[in-house]
Amino acid sequence: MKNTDNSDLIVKCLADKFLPLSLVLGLYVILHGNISPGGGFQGGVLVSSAVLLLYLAYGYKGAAAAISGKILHKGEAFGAICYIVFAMLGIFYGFNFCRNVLFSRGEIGDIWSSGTIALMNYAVGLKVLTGVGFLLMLVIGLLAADPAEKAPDASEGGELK
Amino acid sequence: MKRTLLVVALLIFMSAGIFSVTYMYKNIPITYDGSNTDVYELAHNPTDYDTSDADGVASIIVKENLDKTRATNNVTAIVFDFRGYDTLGESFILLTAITGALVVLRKSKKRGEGAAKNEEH
Amino acid sequence: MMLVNYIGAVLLLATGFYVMMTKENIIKIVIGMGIIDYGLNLIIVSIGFNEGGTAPIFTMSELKPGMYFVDPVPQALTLTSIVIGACVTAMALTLCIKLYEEYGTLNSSHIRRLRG
Repeated sequence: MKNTDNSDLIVKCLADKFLPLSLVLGLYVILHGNISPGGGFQGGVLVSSAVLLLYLAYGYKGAAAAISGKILHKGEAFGAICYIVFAMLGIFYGFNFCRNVLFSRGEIGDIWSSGTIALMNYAVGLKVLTGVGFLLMLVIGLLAADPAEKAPDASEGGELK
Repeated sequence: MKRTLLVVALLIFMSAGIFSVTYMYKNIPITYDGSNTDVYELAHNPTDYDTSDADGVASIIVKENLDKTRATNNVTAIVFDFRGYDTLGESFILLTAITGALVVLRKSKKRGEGAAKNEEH
Repeated sequence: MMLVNYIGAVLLLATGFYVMMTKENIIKIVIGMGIIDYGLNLIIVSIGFNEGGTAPIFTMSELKPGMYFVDPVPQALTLTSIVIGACVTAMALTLCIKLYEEYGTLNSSHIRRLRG
């Protein structure tokens, strides 16, 4: 795309270089939640900083072209349902509610090692990632609903039913 | 008058807080003193430690964690396995906050200079 | 060494209360609420510290004989508390946006006067 406005070239270059770094580091921290410091909450917030980098470099239209609010909104509900399903595995096997019933599979020190702890970790990571990203897109869409900038006529929340 | 009263109350609060924190640091013993648990031995023989004379919940959790959950990260094992109910409540609060923000900000744009409107209900 | 952490947390609490009670701008009131949250989290984490202890994670190749752990339970409770603080701040700021659109000002004493 050709635009002759080169006043924020440095910000665009830096955002181009740092966006894959934040995505990869966040996914690494989520995946290795049961063998190294970190976990679902910390990694989710790291990944959702990609939305903010996109907004700083390309404005609201660039961020809305790459990320859609409907998928993020449905992904958050999916993460919450997955957490409850993994916690109900204990009842299906005959014990109490939040029981670790798959703990004897895998070796100590692998990624797939401690049963439902790893599965719950991925569910919470997905939930925090999509939730915070959706909140950021909501507020940024509100900022851009300005007569000075041509934006869609309702915020992100107006389209979802 | 009100401001001097506020400053005096805050000074009393701060001095009482610093005094009680210093007293807590010097006189009250900590419950989990892990200096008689050798971590190297615990990692290689997890069943050699008995928990009949433990001095608190943290001592029992650290000694039995590798045996019962096979997770090397103690903090994640506590958050998702030993106290999973708290994490369920916290997921619920995340969901509530984001849904509340979505409902409050529906169809809101900048509406002119914002004169005082009549409430409809 | 942990005495510095404790005194800092009490100072953060006092500063947060002062900001919440004397400022008139509603965004500054929300900032004061956040400062109180951070002071409380600091004091909870600093309680479970043992001198000379290491992080409560069984790293498979760096443990030496003679090490012992710090307390992992307060760290797990502080994780939940941080997320709750962030959610409350987000909700309070959306209410600030709605207040500005209804009354047109960010000054809490003017809003109180406009309502009649």
